[in-house]
Amino acid sequence: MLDLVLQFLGNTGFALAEWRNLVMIVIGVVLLYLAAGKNFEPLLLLPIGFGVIVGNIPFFKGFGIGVYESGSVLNYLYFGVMTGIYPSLVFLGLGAMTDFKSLLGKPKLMMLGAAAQGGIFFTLLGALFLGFAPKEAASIAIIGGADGPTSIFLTAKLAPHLIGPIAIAAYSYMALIPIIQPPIMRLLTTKKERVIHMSETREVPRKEVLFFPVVGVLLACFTAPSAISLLGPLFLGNFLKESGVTDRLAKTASNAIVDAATIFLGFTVGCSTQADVFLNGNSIRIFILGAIAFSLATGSGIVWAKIMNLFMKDKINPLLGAAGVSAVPGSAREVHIMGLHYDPTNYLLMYGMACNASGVIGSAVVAGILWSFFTVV
Amino acid sequence: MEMGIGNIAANNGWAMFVVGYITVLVALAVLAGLISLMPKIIAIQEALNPFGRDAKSGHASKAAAKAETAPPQATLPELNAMAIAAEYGPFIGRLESPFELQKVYAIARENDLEHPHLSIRTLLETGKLSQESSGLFKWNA
Repeated sequence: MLDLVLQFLGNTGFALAEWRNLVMIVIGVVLLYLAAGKNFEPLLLLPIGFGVIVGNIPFFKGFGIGVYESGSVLNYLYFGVMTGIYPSLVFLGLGAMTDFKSLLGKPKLMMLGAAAQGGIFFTLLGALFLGFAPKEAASIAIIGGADGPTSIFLTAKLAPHLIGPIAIAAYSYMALIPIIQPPIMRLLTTKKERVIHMSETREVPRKEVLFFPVVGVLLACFTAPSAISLLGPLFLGNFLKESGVTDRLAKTASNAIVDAATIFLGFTVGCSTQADVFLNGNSIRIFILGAIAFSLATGSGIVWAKIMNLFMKDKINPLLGAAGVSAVPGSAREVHIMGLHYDPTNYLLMYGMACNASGVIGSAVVAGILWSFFTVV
Repeated sequence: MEMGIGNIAANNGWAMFVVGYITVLVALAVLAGLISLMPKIIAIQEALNPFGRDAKSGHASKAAAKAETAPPQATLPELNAMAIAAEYGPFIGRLESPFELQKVYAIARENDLEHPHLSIRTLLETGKLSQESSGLFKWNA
């Protein structure tokens, strides 16, 4: 009987734990605190944080328990990450929640969403410089898009062993927008530029709102067919919403489906951060490169807006360039807050959301482009 | 893992940077251009389709347009639209506008009003109920 007790005790998490498990559990608790205590991206950080804790509970390998063990429940749930199912479902919901009217009313703002993708390509160079393999470099660079599902989608295709650190980095930086973006915005703009008022947007007729998802999916997916699994659901969701004849479907997409996908995506990505695969030098390098990517993306958008202003009569507030990353709605909110700080009558939220929307499309297109670079036959 | 600028060239990094960045810029520029052209495209489409020129999109608007050009046609032969409107009006009038049709249906069930589905359809087709935004309706007393 004593042998049985000792055998049981030897198989408990207490006996199997090592310092790395404890470090990861502390990281999970910090994420939970940021989500529940500080309200930083709670919808994402909470399931991820809890997943980090669950994924780092020590267990006896080979019993089909862990996320990387074939046949385990967690492994089946993780299937949605590895195949890109969850990111697609999140994009469906995102489309059903997104109002593109502000973008349609001022299409030139779309260029800021495109320009901010520069952060991805600059980081690609940085990651290659540091010695990462090309596919790993591309997966790390996509953090600059500030789009969690897109980062996970591309990483699952190109460098699945890096999903944990890349997802954590992407979502952490999205949560840290209020800390990362304002200094860059202040650094790259003058006070005079920050108080530029945007001109009124025109009223967008319903037909245009209906045409846009169709035109958008055709053009974007013809350009980067690899992005079909992201942009197809995104524009479908938007068409469900705007058509006015499928309210039930639009509501389901923007509530039940996106919520379920977010829970499983966050939880299983958190579980994938098992200490033995997460705590290494690569993760630290990924976090540093992720911060650089995010900062460069913010800067690229702002600089592009300033360049556009050199040629345009109808000036753009360069702060909006920071909203070209697809962190919806955090970056738009940050731009709005800074605009109000320098001029209490300057409301930039609507324009910021337009840039955010184009950033979502832009980062998905870039993910498709990067993926296609490595699937050329 | 060796660092060095040579890694970038060796892994086609410069080419990926240039081609990738230019592609996304061009793709979104073309999309922005198409969006800018949409009002013109729609104007041409409406010019080619004179019958649809004045018709606003949406079921309710179509119903309203029909109601303006043709006499109200009762969907239930034994009931006329005016009677349905008189029956439903006091209840719907209490709803905060805009509202979902589900609420009208619920009111009809709660108050034992006859033929709720056909009556609501009749109210829509005669323009007494019209769509204000996606999925939301208002009562035209």
